[in-house]
Parts: sequence; C-alpha cells; structure tokens
Amino acid sequence: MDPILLLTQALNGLQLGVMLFLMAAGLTLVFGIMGLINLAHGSLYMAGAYAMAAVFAWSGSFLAGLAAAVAAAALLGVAIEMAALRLLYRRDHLDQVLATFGLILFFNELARIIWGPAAIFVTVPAALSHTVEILPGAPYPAYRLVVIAAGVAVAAGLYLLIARTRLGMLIRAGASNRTMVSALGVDIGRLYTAVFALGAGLAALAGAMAGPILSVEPGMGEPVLILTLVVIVVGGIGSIRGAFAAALLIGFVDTIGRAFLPALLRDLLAPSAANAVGPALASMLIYLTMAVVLAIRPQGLFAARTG
Amino acid sequence: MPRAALWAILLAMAVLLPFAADLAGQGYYVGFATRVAIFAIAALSLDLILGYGGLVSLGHAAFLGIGAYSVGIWTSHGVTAAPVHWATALAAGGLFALVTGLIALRTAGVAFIMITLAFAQMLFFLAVSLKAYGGDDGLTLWDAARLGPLDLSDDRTLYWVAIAWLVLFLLLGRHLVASRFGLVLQGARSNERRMRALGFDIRRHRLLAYVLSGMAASIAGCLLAHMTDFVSPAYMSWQRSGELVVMVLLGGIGTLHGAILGAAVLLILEEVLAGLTQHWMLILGAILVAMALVARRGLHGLLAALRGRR
Amino acid sequence: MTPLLSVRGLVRRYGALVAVDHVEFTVLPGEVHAVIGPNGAGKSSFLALLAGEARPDAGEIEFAGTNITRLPAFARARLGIARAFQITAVIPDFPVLQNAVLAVLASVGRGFGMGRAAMHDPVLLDGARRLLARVGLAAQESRLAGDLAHGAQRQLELAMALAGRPRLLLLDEPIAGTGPEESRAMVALLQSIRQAPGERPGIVLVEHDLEAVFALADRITVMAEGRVIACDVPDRIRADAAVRAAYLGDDAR
Repeated sequence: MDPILLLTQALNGLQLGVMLFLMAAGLTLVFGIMGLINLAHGSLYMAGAYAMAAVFAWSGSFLAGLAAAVAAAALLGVAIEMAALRLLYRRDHLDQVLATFGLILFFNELARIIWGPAAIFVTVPAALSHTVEILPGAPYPAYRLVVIAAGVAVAAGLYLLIARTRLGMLIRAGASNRTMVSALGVDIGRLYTAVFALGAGLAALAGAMAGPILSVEPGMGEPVLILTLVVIVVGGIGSIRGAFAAALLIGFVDTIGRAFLPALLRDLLAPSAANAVGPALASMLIYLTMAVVLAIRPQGLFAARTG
Repeated sequence: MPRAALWAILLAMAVLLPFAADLAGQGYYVGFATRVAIFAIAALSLDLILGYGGLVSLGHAAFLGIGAYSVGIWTSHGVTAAPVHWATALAAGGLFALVTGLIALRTAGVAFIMITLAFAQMLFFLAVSLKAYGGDDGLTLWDAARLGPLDLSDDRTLYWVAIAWLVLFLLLGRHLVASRFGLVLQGARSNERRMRALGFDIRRHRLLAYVLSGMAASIAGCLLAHMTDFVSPAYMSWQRSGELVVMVLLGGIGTLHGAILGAAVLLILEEVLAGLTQHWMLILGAILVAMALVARRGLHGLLAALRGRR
Repeated sequence: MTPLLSVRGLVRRYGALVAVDHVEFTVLPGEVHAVIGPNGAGKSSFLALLAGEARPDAGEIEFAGTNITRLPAFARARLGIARAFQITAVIPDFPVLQNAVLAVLASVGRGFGMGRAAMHDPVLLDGARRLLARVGLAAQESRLAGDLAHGAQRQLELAMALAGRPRLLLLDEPIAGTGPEESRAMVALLQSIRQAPGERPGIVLVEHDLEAVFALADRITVMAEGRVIACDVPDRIRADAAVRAAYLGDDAR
C-alpha cells in the first residue's frame, strides 16, 4: 500500500472525523440533557453553511463568514428551541420525530426559496488555497489542515468548558440528574436554551467549514445528520467522549474503506466481481461497523450512565 | 350503523371507484387511488410495530425499496411473473428485517430510531452502487408484470390488486393484534419490565412483529414498482420513511385503519398543497410541527373527540 | 429441609459502590423471609439480582436445584419466580381484566399464539377472573389499570404475580405507601397466599412497614450498606442490639 496515499487518506479521515464530532457533540448533549432527539440538527448545519456563503461573498472575509455562521445558527437554534422544541422535552420520542421532521422540510424549502435549488460553491479563502508538503512528495491542501486543527481545537475547548466551567458543571449535572440542577436554584429553562445554542453553533461551524469542501445546497444537512446519528449510537448516546471516539472511528472507516477496499478486493476477487462489490461494500462499511459495535455493546462504546 | 355494514360499504365504494372515475371522466384518480392503497399498506405495516409494538422505526422505506428492486431485478432479467416478484420481496424483506431487527432490537427507544434509519440508509447506498441495475439513476422497467392472465400495467387491474392486498393485510393485521401475540406485543409497549417478569421473552415477539411488518411493506414496494414501471434508490430515502411515520401519526397510531386514513390524507394534502404553490413543503413542514405540538392523537383522535368518546 | 432458594457470596457493584456485598441468603419452601434495612442498604438491588434484572459480579444463585445465576429474567419467571415491583408495574393502558389475561397467558402459552384470539379465549378469561376474585378486584375488571387506586394496583400486581402458581414470590414493598385500610387488606391477602393449600410459595418480602414484616415473616434478614448484618426469627431480630443500632434506631419499641 502506498504510504503517501495512506497518509493523505488518514488525514481525510481525520478531517471527516472532526466535522462529525462538531455535529455529534451538540446532538448528543441535547439528547443526554433534554432527552430530545433533534432530527433538525442537520438544518442548523445547513444554516451555518448558507450564512457563511452569504457573508463571505458579501464581505470577502472568511473569518467574518465563520463568525456570522456560528452567530446566526445559534440565534436560529434559540428561536427554534423557544418556539417549539422546549414543549417537546418531556414528550414521546414520536412527537419529537414528527416535529423535527417537519422542521427539516420547512428549512430545506426555506433555503430553496431564499437561495434557489442549485448548489452554491464556496471558494477556499485565498490565504489557504495552497497545498502544504506534509512529507516529501505528499502535498495536502492547507485548508483541510486548518479544518482539522480547528476541529481539534474546538474539541479541546469543549472538553475544558465541560470539565472546568460552571456551565460545564451544570451540563454534567443536568445529564445525570435534572431535579438536582433545579434544586441548585438554576433556571433549567435557560440552561437548556444555552445548551441548544451551543450545539447549534457547533453544527453551524461544521457546516461553514464544510462549505468550501462540499457544495452548499438545500438538503445538505441530512446525509451528515445520518452519519452523525451513526456516530452517536456507536459512541453511546449522551456521551461526549463516546461521540469523539466514534466520530474519529467512523471518519477513518469511511474514508479508508472507500479509498482502499475496492483495491483490496481486486486482489482477492475476479476483477468484474471486485468492481461490482467494492464500491457497494465501501459505502456500507460504516453501517456494518455500527452493526458490529452494537452486536457486541448495545449501549455503544462509552455508555452514558442513565437511570 | 353496525360496523360490519360500514366496512362493507367502504369496501364496495373502493372496489367500484374506477367505474365512478370513468363516469366522471377522471381516469387520473384511479392511479392516485392506487398510490393511496400502496402507501396505506406500507403505513399499516409500520403501525403494527410502531403503534402496537411501540417501536419507532425511521427506516421503513427500506422495505419499499426491497420490494421495488425485487420487481426491478427480476424484470430486467425477463421474469415478469408478479407472484415471483412478490415471493422474492416477501423473502428478502423478511430476511432483511430479521437480520437488522436482531441488532436493532438489542437497543430500545431513541437508539432504535437511529439504527433503523441507518440501516435503511445502508440499503439506499447499496442501491446507488448497484451500477448493473441503474445505480443512482434508477432502472426503467420495459416489461409489465403479469399475474396469470392479468396485465398489471393496466391501471384498473393494478388498482384492484392493490386493494386486494390492502384488504388482506388489514384483515390479517386485525386478527394479529387481537391474538395472544398481539396482546403480548402491546403489553410490552406499555411495560417491558412487567412483561419480562411475567416470563415473556418479548424480544422474540418484537422481532417477529418486525419481520411481518417488513414483509408486508415489501409487498407495497412491489406494487409501487408495478405502478411506476421504474425503481430507484429514492424509494428508500429517509424522507420516505419519515412520510410513512407521518401517515401513521396523522391517521391515529395503533388503530391499523387509521394508517389507511393517514396515507390518504397525507397524499391528498401533498397534492392539494402542490397545486397551490411550488413551495408546498414549507407549509407541510409547518403543519407537521403544529400537529406534533397540538393534535397529539392524530385525525383519529380528533374524530373520536368530536364524537365525544373518551 | 432443602432450601428452595439459596444464595451464596452474591456481589453487585455499581462503579465504586458495592450495592450487594457477599450476601448469603436462603428461602425454605413456604417460608416468608423478609429483608429489611435502611434506605440504600441494597435491598432493591438484591431483589433485582434474584429476579434476573441485573447480573451479579460474583456469587451463585440456586433455585429448586437449578443454578440460575446466568438466566435472564423471563427464563427465571418461567421456572416459577414471580415478581412484584416497588413502583407499581401493571400495564396502565390495559383494562384490569386484560392485565390478568396477560398474566394467565404467560403461564399457559409458550408459542407466539398468532392464530388465537386473546380476549375471547375461555381458558384465559376464566383464569383471569379467578385471579381477580382472589384479590378482590372482580368488580373492577373493566376499568383501566392505570385508573385504579394505588392499593388496588398493588393487589392487581400481586394477582398477576400469582397467575403462574409461582414457587417463589419476590415482593418489593407491597405495603409501603398504601393507606391503613389497604395495608391491612394486603397483609391479610399475603397471609392467605402463604396458607393457601397446595401452593405455599416461598416469599422474599422487602418492606419498610415493620409492623407488617413482624406480622408476616418467618425469618428476617437485616441489610446495611450492602451487607447482611443479621438473620434470625422476628423475636430475636427485635431484640438484637446491632440491628437496633444500625437500623431500628430510636424508633424501636
């Protein structure tokens, strides 16, 4: 196996992994603390991507675009939470699925009305449009390296936030015991809104950074959402650590699988069979990974303690 | 009016619908009614696990895809006998349900929702990568399926076949939920721990319900392919699965006939909204959110409340 | 007499907490063996281990000559271990009769029973009505179980536990939280169960209401912090200084 290709693909896997983590962190926190399954999390990702594209095009500043994306999605998150979702925390999962499914349809169509059905392409900022020679003979896009660095930095920041700050303490307490948090005299409604806004901001960051890598279009949130759900289930629902480990696992499995599985099968099978099976198997690989993990540990890799 | 008479009238109306459509010169409605019947089968099958089993599956469209591809793959190899398509769909749908159910039923609640969604997505991507059968673009079926002497490309014939399947599944379903098996399934929905303590191995009951439900939905997939003469991965998109859940909720969960009502209402609603505006999904989305927040027991619940029951 | 149930060296940890710490325990046929102790003593965890809802980290459980340590809850139920929960666990959205039918079904049917209508089956209905009559709920058979008064729900739950003619009953606080009237009725009901000819199930009774415990129990085990600190007949438990110190405290008469 070509070591340079392997390294490149490993970096691609890492990049997908950190993006998935940004998505999964918010989703798993919202479920762990509020007991809400939010299928519209992908809409916040899409909102971030569109806000980024619009502000970047208008101002010419990538950083301004990022900031606008995070702020806009956090505000949107607060609005959704206060208008609809907070009424659903203690409800059946079925009501939550129905409402958030409705939100997806709503926001996808709204994006279509505002920006049209066609995909928008966002350019990589000029300062990052070059490649970096990570090893002799192994160029890698600088932008993707920055995405990886940003993702890791945010993960570290999130860890510090949860482990060290008062908000983090409340989040941890809220995840294990809601009544205790209320007993501490904390306005639980405000805490929930804050957690939701945090998750929305992280999703938007992922969407905004994905803009130059993928295309920005209505419905772009759902494929990512489904991958994120796989991450959360594999990691253990409600666990941030689990989300991090599983995001990296799924990122690597998907990228490496797509890159090398077809070639590997060509060594093992007849070419025609390998060409037919290879792509099919590669696209199913993360779901098979999920199935294996769940068959062994139904509660996921890092099960959060639930009562 | 006695219930049996009501059902008899409804059935007679359903059977005679094509003649009425002809008289009114609206042949289009036969095709639309066939769609309703097909999605009613799928929604009915979902209601068995969702309404009676308490298992929220967000991947039920996978079975529509299995049924559709059973028809598509056989037809592309020149086999047009519908019974062969159906038998294949029943076997493949049952097998897929058995394997994924064994894994998904190790979990419960929200994890089950996510896992069923993920497995359906897996099948979606599998279909996309099946280049021999059209891949992403789908597969057009040039030869009509045949049921003995009947040609299923005839709108009326297909409509009656779909109605026959729907009636069969409704009768089977009603029998099943009133059986011992159905009682255990519903008991486990309300109180899993109690059922285990009584000595029921409820995972087996749930798995069987999941398999039966998947088999019925696969038949709906076959009929869908018969109707459109086309199969594509889009049949098992996650939105389709979401729509099936909406149908069950709309008509009233855990009633079986509510699923039929829900399928009809959602399809009519989509049709009407699409006639009003190109951006009808915006309105539909808002309606669904409002429904989740306000009308919790669906139309069935609303009707029951209006009649002053409960 | 050989014990019906014998437990040796049972341990269950939750993280750093040892909820059940090397517990030894036996129940003889027809015996009422009460388990008492302060909150957090590990009584409910112990009962969950006996029922098969949790797995022990160490130790053995033997029931009627069979090692059941690794058996899941439903399989233990089929061997004749019935269970009533601390938080009343009936099927709230089923009518009372339907709850009882389910319990009877659990004891008679093994297959899936897809071909057999449940609520028109005379075998199931007769059995269910006999059960309800036994606990005094016959008149309420068509009410939703969730609408019953607390004490009546506990009676229904007990009826469901009795459906399979169990050889061992695990009762988690059947009396706590009921009014004085209901409490007397429940004690009388439990007396009648243990004296019913031909059945005489062994009973493990976890209960806070000490008056009921001393009235019913043949033996009492006292738990504190996961360990058994005493096990004896009621009179000696009442007199035991260690028990008074650990548990009965100043309330002891």
